[in-house]
Amino acid sequence: MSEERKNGARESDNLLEISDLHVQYNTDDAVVHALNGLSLKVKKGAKLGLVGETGAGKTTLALSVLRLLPAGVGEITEGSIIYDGDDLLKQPESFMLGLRGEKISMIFQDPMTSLNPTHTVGDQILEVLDLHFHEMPREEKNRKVDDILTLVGIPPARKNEFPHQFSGGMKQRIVIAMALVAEPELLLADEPTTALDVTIQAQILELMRDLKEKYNSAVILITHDLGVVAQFCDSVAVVYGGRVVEYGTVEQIYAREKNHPYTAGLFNCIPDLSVKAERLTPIEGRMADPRVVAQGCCFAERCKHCTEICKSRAPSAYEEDGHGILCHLFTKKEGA
Amino acid sequence: MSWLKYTLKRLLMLIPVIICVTFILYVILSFAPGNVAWQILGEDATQEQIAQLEAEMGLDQPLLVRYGKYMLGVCRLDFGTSWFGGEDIAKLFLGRLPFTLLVAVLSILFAVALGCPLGIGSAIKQYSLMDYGVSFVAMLLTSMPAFWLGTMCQILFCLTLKWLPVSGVGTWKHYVLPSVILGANTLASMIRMSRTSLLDVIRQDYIRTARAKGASEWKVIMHHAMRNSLIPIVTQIGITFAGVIAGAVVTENIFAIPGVGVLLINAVKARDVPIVMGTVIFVTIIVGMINLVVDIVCALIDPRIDFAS
Amino acid sequence: MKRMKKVTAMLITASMLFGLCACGDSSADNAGQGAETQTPAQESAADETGSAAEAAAGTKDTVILATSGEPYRFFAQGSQSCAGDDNLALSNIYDCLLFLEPDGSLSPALAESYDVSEDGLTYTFHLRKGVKFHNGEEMTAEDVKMTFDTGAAGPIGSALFVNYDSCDIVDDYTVDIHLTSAYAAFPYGVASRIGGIFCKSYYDEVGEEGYYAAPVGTGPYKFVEYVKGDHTTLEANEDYWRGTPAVKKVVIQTVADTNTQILGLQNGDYDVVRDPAIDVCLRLDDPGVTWAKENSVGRVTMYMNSWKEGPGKDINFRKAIQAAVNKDDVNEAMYSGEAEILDIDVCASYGGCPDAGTYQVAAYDVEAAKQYLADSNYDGSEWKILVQSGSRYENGAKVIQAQLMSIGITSCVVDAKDNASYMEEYKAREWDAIIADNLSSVVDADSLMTYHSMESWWDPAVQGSPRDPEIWELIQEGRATQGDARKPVYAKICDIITEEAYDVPLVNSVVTVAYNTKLKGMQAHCLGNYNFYYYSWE
Repeated sequence: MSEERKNGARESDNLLEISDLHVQYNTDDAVVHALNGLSLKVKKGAKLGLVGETGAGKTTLALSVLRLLPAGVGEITEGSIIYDGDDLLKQPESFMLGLRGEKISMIFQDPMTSLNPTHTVGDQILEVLDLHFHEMPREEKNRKVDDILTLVGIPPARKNEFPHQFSGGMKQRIVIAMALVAEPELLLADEPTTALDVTIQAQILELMRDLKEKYNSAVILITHDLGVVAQFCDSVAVVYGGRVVEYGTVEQIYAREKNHPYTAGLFNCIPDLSVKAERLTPIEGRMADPRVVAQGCCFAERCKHCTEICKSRAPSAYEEDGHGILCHLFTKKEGA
Repeated sequence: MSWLKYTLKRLLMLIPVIICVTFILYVILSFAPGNVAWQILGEDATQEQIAQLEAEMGLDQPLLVRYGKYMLGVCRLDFGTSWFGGEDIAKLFLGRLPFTLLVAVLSILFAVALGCPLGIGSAIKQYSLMDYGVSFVAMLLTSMPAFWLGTMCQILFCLTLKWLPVSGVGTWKHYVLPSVILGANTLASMIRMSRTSLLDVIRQDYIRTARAKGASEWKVIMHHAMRNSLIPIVTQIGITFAGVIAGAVVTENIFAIPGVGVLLINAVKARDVPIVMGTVIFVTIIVGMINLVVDIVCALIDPRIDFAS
Repeated sequence: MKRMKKVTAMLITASMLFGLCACGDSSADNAGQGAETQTPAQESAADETGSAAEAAAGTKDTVILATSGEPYRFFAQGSQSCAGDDNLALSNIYDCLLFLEPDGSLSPALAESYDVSEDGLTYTFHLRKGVKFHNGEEMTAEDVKMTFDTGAAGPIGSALFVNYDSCDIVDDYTVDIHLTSAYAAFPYGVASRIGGIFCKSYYDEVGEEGYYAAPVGTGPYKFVEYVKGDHTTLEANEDYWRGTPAVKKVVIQTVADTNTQILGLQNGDYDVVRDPAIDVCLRLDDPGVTWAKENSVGRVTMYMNSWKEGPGKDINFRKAIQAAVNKDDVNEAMYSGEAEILDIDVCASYGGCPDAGTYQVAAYDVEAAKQYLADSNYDGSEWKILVQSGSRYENGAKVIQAQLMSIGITSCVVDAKDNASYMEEYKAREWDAIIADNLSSVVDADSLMTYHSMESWWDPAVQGSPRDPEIWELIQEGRATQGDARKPVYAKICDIITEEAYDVPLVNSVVTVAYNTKLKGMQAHCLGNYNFYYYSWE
């Protein structure tokens, strides 16, 4: 990391800084606006949870960072993604190839289909090293593969077996091994436990925490499960309508004193064992049509506290002590 | 050990298939109009002469008896002799088989060697000019019947351009046109199949994983996608092989290749039952074996297929 | 471990594939070598810019003939019979006592001369001396007797050696052939395909099977090999009694597709194409290739079934058809107008053919046809014309069908059948009409008897008495008479046929041949024979 590459970085310990990112999908029917001015900061070694409903744009964000949006369909129209001083949107593909798998790794949601059925497990992990560390001798690569397998709890003797010979949980471990073998600086984990059952889920999270400690990688954990966020993450960003509507530390947000109405709604959805209730309290309405860019606040239609200004003007962020909320309710209080 | 057992099992399974096919064929042939003895002896033969020949050939016996005798002979590897010339069927067939097989194999090689890259290219550059162009050519090839295409090519390449000989066998040049004509149809289906298969594979999650690992697009296609997309392609080859043997008839006719297809067609026209039966048995065995080979190759490519169970 | 499995599997599949090919290889060598016979012309053809066929005449000693139907029976008098395709080889491997010229006349061959007895029952043949078989044995009366005895007993003996009774050896070079009753056309049978003299001592040695496999004759060419479905090779007989043939090797190549035949001729792959379609010949526009035609000894006639229950039983119906057929149109459809129209079911080249003007001719008259139809008891029932599918006769039948429709016969059906089914139906005599090329090896008006016979292979028990007894009497008379006196007899037969409207003679069929311009000595033969002896390269 040379000094020159750090030009443009605002804070030196921000590993990843996403500013005002607009991403759309150009389908045959219409243009789908997935991200509408999303901004995010991730420090080195941080554990950020990215929370939101399905369709909020979380996966799109992760794919955008790696520039793996579907070719021809996905388009980044505005904004910047600054990673370690470089604006990734301005880099050539060869730069990205070097980045993927080595500096920034990603694990995907469904472990059953994430592995190539015709290659052995060991080969697939080895490939990461082959792609990025050309000078490393063969024996060292093999040793690294064995080490990482052991670390994730898979006997290295099984490295010549094929993915279909492993269970779902083990497959996810292999995927994690593949993502971490190159010791990346940033790990994007897109709902890594959603497809697994609860006990395995706990194991996987445990594993991820250990590995994160070992390699000191930053982790962006994308999930819709608030419980997982509480278990694993230090900070949280709540995504709705292609924007971050609230961000802060876990303590700040989970204190439930000041929250964006959406976040509040999310918490209300979780059934409370102590209270006897006959019905769940969901959030009214449905997510806005992503083909239309909202005029005012993206949450206006579903918000209990919606006012006239909410419908006409987009709110700006209110921040206090690192806890940010994108809502007129709070900006009004500020008097801005 | 399981490979051998599987192979043996598959070969043994051919036996009921052969019995079924030959019996149906035997029945159909016996119902076909046309008196063989009369055909052999010619129009002017007397009734006694015809009856005598029929008795000699065993044609006066009931169908099942004749069939039984024939199959017993087959078990002893005696396929009989041609009714119109007396040649030993097995020798006749095996003498002509290499020509048909050569043209069939060459045509499939041609179709695969040209079709797969074109299909893959179309898949990679989906909706591009190349994609539409290749699809158009494939459709054109499928629409052109072999007998027309063959004669057209003869006129162009042999008569006008003088690059190739019109017919026969002997040098490598003789095999170019027959293989291309026979392979034209297969080429079209190979292009489509590779394209579809690759498109299918490209959309899979593990391809996305490979990209996320930092593999270049070339590596993604060649290293990750290829093996997986090969499986339906190999299966397709097995399926088309039987069709290629059938299509060889037309090609062999046009290009005067002394192969099995022409032998079979002429035998059916002349009602030379031993040749028809013998040829069909041999072809069934060959097609069965080719399918077996294809299945084994598939199993080699796809580790999910396991014979041990 | 997995690798080992893979390697083993690979080896198994590879060995299976090898097994497939290997079992064919040893016999493939024989077939392959035979099939690899190609003239240097094929290679030189690629170098020339002019007509490939012109360039191909670089080879001076081989002729390649392309044919759809191949010879496969190389012994004519055996139990397997033989046909026109076989005659391609037979007429060159063997000689007969008499030779059938391209125009249908007879000339001396192995017999220098012959006499006929007064009563027409004995033919005395004086044999040529010093003629050698291919195995070196001399041809004598013994061989002639054997040939006739064996041939007459065979499947087509009664058709070609008509009325044959016995053969006596007078001396080594003289034989007497006795007939049961006079048959003026007997010499044509002598010159036919089963008249080729074979070697008795060789036959005694190898038997019929051996003779089929390796035939021996006195002809200009010796048999070399036969590869079924591919080719037959003949090589020149250096000691041929007429003199050494100019062409040293002849390959009869089986080429199923007629387009390929012509293209190959133009390309120099073949030197001669047997029986190309006339319209193809007419369109040939290549200086290196030419074609020839000859009236064949066959006539294309529509024979009508007058004995079974159906429209054809009524003479008015038949006369309506007779008057409605426009033969020029039919000629156009079948032979592009190149054939000669026939008014009687006898070719001009036939022995005993009546002179023009001595017989009645049915006129083409549409109005009369309609009148006949009105007078008949035609009730619209189906009337089928049987033809071989894909043949020119099918085309002719369709033209006739249209012509009949224009006079009001709407139920005429063209029944085109494949060869085997066609023969079956032909034999069953359930057809209402049949159009075929009646090619007669016996180049004589006596061949009228085919469709008017009471003693043919048709089983009278099945059909009753099929035809006209008056005609049968006249046929016997024609056989017994000699020379020009026969002509009026046949004139009378033709008149009866015309009056009764049994048949509608159409055209004298045409034999065609297409060949390389540089090949000399080529002649279209009336029976479709190919006498390679006369060929030479320029």
